[in-house]
Amino acid sequence: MNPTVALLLAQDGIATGAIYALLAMALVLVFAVTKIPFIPIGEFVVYTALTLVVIQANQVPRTVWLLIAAGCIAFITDIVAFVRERDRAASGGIAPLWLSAAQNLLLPAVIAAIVTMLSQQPRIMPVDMLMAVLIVVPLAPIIYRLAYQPLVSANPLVLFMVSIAVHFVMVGLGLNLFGPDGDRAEPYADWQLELSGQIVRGQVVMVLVAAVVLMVILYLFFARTVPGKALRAVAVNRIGAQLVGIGTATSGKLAITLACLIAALCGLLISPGVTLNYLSGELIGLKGFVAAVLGGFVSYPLAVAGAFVVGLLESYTSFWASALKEVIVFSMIIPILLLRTFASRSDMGEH
Amino acid sequence: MAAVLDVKGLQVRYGGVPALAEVDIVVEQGAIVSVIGPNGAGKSTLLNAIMGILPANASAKGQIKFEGAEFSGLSVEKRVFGGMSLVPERRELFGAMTVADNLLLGAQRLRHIGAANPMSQLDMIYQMFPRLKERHTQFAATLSGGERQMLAIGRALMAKPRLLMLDEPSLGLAPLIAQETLNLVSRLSETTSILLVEQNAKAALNVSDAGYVLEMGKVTAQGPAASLATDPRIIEAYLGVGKKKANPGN
Ligand SMILES: Nc1ncnc2c1ncn2[C@@H]1O[C@H](COP(=O)(O)OP(=O)(O)OP(=O)(O)O)[C@@H](O)[C@H]1O
Ligand SMILES: [Mg+2]
Repeated sequence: MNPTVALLLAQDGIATGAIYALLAMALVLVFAVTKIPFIPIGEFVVYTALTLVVIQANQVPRTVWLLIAAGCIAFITDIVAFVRERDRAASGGIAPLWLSAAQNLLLPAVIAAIVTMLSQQPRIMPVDMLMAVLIVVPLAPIIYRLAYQPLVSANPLVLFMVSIAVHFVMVGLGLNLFGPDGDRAEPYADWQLELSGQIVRGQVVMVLVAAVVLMVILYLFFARTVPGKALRAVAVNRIGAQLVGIGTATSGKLAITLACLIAALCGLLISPGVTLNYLSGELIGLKGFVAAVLGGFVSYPLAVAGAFVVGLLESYTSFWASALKEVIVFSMIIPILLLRTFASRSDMGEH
Repeated sequence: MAAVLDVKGLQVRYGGVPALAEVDIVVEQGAIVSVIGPNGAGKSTLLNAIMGILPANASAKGQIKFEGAEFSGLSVEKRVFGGMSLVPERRELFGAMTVADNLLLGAQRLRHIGAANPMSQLDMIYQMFPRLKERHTQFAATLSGGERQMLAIGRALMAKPRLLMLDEPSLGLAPLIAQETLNLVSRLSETTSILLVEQNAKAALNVSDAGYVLEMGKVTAQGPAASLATDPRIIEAYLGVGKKKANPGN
């Protein structure tokens, strides 16, 4: 391997590392707030990327119909829950149902209308990207409502099983929505930079810039805004949060929606660079998981550092031993978990 | 006078073991009502059941009427938005967040009901507890016990509650400061009704309008605070002369 190749691989590694870093942060966020290991995060990456591909082909993506159908099911679930609660406690008006109808029926319908209308018009690429995000991200609160909200006080093992189930349902639906073939989107940055003789691809630059910008936005959200602080409060003390009126379901929904928004942006960022099919989400999500595990699922900076380790490792092993790429990345988990277990013995009493 | 809180036949079991049996409690508008009783009588269980934060292994039955509406079965946040606030025995502060942020989040109820200025209580609380203002950038976990108490009460007051429930607000405080806390409670009753659980029965009854004695999950005596304070049986059990705490132990 000569230095040029090494640097090219490093570029690739850093760019994929940035994507894993964003996913790892999303996973840490969801876990801290809800204790859910959100395995289906990779599916949100893939759904967004493949939805973008369909939109760019001037078609209406089938994910729109999925959104409408899922919204209807969520609305029915809300009605059933409402009727049940009425039996027990006859208080509160019909307002929550209006809210649910707006979220689960009206919003998907509006999005479907916009997408159908625009699909025949000439558009610029940012509009396509925005449409893909608008279709996929509203699935997140619906999935939370259907799969996780009924189990808010369940133990992590149950939440893990539910996550696996959601993952497989989304993979299966993905096959129906996008077909078995892989595809990639049109490039959004087909320029190059020359940095002291080394060629840097525009896409790598864009991924890094977007990742940094997103991280700064997330930091500001958690440090400065009331909803951000409320999410932190749930992570710090769940009962305390309930006592000031931060609902477990409300914050869980917000956390998962935010995480899926991050995942969707990752999907946009990688969509021209790699060929994705309905199955690709699994490995992408799991690598975000490896990075999150490196951070012990609690620390954002460690998770980000772990993500770059995963990205670089993947990039270099794909050069030296591409057949063993995944084996090497995933087998990293074992020594790291062992190390963490030994390390955490010493600071057990801190909580 | 209308009752703010009307609890009837409240039963709580922890995994089948009864902790409260058919408890009736009424808090009148603007009143201070204290609940006294030995350790393990179910006082904290009572407040937690009213607030809806019982642990997962507990089951509760019975009526909790709050300002005329049935609250049992509602989620905690709906009870908070309705106007209940609890300072729990374990305080449940946001340890890794600053004093100022703890107070800020205390105002979620006012944000929810669309109050014009959700932080309107902040100045009042900083006036009440100048110590909190001095330390507003400090993490809650690093506060002293007394400061933590102040922050817990301050956070609950940020919501402008209609009913403030306090679980042993003077727990672990020096006697002088404990008395100060109770004086504060009596001043707070100008703006909110109060349900108070206290180990220091004498001081609690002193500032209260009415009182309940809870023993083994049952109300064994109740009445105006003044008449409870002169009841010979209660004097013997809880107000023993010279003793600071009625039932030391565990
Ligand atoms: N989570 C729980 N699981 C099982 N039993 C519990 C639980 N919490 C409380 N109990 C039991 O319920 C009874 C009442 O407890 P509670 O905390 O309400 O008493 P208390 O009157 O507040 O006592 P103290 O004065 O010591 O605070 C006790 O016997 C206690 O052991
Ligand atoms: Mg107690």
